[in-house]
Amino acid sequence: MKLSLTEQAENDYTMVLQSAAITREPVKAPAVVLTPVAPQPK
Amino acid sequence: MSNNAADNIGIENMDAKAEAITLIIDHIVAALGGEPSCTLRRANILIDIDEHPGTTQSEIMERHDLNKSALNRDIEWLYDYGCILRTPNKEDNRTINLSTCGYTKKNIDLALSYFDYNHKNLQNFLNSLINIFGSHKPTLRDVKIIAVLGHKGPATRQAILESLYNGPTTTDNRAVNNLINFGLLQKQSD
Repeated sequence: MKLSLTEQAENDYTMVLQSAAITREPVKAPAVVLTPVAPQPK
Repeated sequence: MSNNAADNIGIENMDAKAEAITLIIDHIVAALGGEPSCTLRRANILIDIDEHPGTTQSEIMERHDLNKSALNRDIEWLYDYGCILRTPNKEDNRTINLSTCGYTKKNIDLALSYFDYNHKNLQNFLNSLINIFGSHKPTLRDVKIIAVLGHKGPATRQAILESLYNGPTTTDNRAVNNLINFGLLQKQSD
């Protein structure tokens, strides 16, 4: 069993897609995350 | 240039735009401490603070037509998650200036890079996503589900869950079920 967008949601999403002012091709960039740092010995 | 920027990628590259949308949502989730349960309204407030470094809560209320208690909750949350700094104003200690910082700023920049670093275009994009949901207040998880199905077409529930953020399966499943109940998703036979 698969899930899909309903016709209305598909139309709305297509509108978002067309109106989105995206100016460059997608390139997967790694997210910048907080890295816990172990306390340094004194 | 950027108002008609849809032309820059072009209609023939709708697939590329759809993929870009999924990545933009990922960057915004990362900017919000990796918390996909945040609403798009909270994301919009964060982007507004990034656009106006040193802004105040009153100014945000005016720009977004929000009531004070709702905005208070969002600001508190953003501060607790380390997304924003609160700095007392040098001339008036009762005024607190807000600004984005650290990983939040860097991840917002990654999202903004898709919009020529134009905050308004990013906010307009988020608002257009909000409009898909009608009266429901969408979370970033909801939007990611819609974006994945919009990009890749029909998918199994398992494939949808795998595209999300490694959160509790029950939460992800509930989000999918809610979208079915709201009339945004439908089941289809293979």
